[in-house]
Amino acid sequence: MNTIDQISVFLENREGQLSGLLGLLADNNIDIYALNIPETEDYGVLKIIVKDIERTFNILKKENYVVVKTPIFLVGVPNKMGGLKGLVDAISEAGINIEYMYSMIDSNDGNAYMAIAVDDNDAMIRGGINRANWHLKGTLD
Amino acid sequence: MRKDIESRLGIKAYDIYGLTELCGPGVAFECAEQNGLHINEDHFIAEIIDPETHEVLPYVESGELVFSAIDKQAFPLLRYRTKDICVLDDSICGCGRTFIKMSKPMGRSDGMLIVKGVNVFPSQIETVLMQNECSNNCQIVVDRENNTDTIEVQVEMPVDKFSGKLSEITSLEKKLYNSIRTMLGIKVDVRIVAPKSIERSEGKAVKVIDRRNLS
Repeated sequence: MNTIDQISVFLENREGQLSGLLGLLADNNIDIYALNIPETEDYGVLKIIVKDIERTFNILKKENYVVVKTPIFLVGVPNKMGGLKGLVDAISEAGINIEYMYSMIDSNDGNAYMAIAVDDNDAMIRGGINRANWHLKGTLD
Repeated sequence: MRKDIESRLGIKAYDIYGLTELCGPGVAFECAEQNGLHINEDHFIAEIIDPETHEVLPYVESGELVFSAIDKQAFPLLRYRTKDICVLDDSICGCGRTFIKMSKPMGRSDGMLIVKGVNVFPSQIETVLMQNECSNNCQIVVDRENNTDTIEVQVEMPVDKFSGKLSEITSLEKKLYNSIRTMLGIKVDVRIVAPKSIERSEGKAVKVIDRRNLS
């Protein structure tokens, strides 16, 4: 697997909304590897990367959260100067547009990763951003 | 708003009630007591009915105001239902007039709202939401800020329309805003809210919360 499913959650921008969601995840022993909240007004879409994707997705759905799974690329970034630039250059050289990205540190292996969503996943793989050339995480352990 | 007008202009402001089908303004006027509007009973007979059973109700009970015009000629009206909910009061008025008084209308029997002077039927908004497959649960909140009406339609995020993209929610909101504006002719704020965040209402499809204190 070249991609991993990120969970996107619709959240209203009201007091206690984020806390409620985090509480639900904590109560179910779900570890959040990475999280992204864009600046919003009335509502926003929170993105999380977790280990137990299916279980997390089902728990959120059961509790009436609006959720969807989106395949994204979780790419290991070489820990050296210009490491991230090399990755972004490779993506743009393949003619692919990045929709958004955010970072993650995996405490297990100590590596930095970028969660990257693009407009065309197949083009990423064809364009060389695949397991053969990059450290792609398809699962979390 | 009346208090504001009176204190800033140094005048007394009186309410007038009327409807186009009868004579326009002039069906009922407030007197100096400012606690009800005297109906011009030499021209109109007023009754209060139960809007469901159509039964005539005794004074002091609230119901739908019904008029019969005594001296209209080309356009007679008998027991014409105004859809305005109010109370009639036949007690002796401090001003000395003996014409019966009606309270200010307290609502409408057909659910119609008057927002920024425009007649709004919640069913119109519901139609737009249905056309956009968004009517699973919603509510209309009417309020008043600085003497101006505000109206907001809150729609629960349709679960099957969520793709994870913020821009798609924003464009859904915009689409609903534009459609409602075209339908009603006034600007209505649209807000997408979390599922199950709106209390389920029995019977009526669209719940209306009117926070304006119009009395």
